[in-house]
Amino acid sequence: MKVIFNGEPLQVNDGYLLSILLLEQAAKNGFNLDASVTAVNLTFIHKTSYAEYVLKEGDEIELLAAVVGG
Amino acid sequence: MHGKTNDHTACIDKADIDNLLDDTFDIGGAKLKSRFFIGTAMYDSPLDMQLSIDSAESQVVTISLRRQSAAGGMKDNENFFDFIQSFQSSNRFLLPNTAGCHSAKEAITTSLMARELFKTNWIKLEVIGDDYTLQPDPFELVEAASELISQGFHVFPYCTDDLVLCEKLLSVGCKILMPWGAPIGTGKGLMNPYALGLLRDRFPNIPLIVDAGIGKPSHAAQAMEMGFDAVLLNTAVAKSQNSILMAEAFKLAIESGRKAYLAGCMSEQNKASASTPIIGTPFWHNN
Repeated sequence: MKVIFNGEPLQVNDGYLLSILLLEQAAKNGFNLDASVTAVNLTFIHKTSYAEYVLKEGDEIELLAAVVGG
Repeated sequence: MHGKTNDHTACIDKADIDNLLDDTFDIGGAKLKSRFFIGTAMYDSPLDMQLSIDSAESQVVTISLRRQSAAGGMKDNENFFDFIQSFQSSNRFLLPNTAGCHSAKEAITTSLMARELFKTNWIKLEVIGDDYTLQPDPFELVEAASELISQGFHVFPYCTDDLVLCEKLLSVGCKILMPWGAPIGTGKGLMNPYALGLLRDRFPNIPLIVDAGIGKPSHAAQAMEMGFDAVLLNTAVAKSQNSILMAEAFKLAIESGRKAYLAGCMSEQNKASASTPIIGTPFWHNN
């Protein structure tokens, strides 16, 4: 099935857990998950819930980190 | 406010000296001495940013959240996160923003994410209504502020100088207002001093911070002379020729404006009035 990760389409298996997807993306891209926060479909997901969240077709996942700002 | 005037303009009397020397203000549960809130964006380098913040002697810096990106320089992200953690742990405060949000829902979610990442209940609430002027959307702003306050946030709302909007923000529980001086990044200064002055007069006990549009230290001094409690700016320092020196210039202007406010500026007069005594004027004849 297709999900959207940080604006980009991504193919994952049915029943994929959010925690697995984030760990894979962190390993692939060097993200530090301890310094990141996540929302799915515009709803904040606490870290303790990553392993319980089963992704669905079309889910939009945002993984955000600290940046400079005014 | 102490002093011999009966409006918001104050002046020193002997009993107030100690209080004036300890000129702190309370905001969001913190007691601050610096009235200069500074942004962390657009500096030539991370070192310039850190040295400018040091030069400003700011106790509050604004920060933001953006997508993790492999192309965005992971090392820079890590270094910035280390910097803000060290900044926060030394009696200084982070003020995360919701820059780029266009709806209450986006701003609320971003605020919750910022609270989790930065371990603070403070949020600079921005909900943009117009991309050309970056003018806030007042309706979405009030809706977001109301929800965030119910969830325990100290909301610092970036708003216009509209009196009714500010009243609405206070009515939903905001304890702070941050009206713009001019659109973000324009450097035009205080475009509507009358409206800003009206806010100061109508809300004498609400911390008021001019946020956005300030271009020069004299603009910041003007806001402080009017009795604003603090100033928040970024571009005017970061995009100057020498951000470290400009940060100090703003610090001094803000301190100067604050002292002028406390001292009580004279009233404007239309008629000239000689300051040197008339009595004893040489070469003067009574005919």
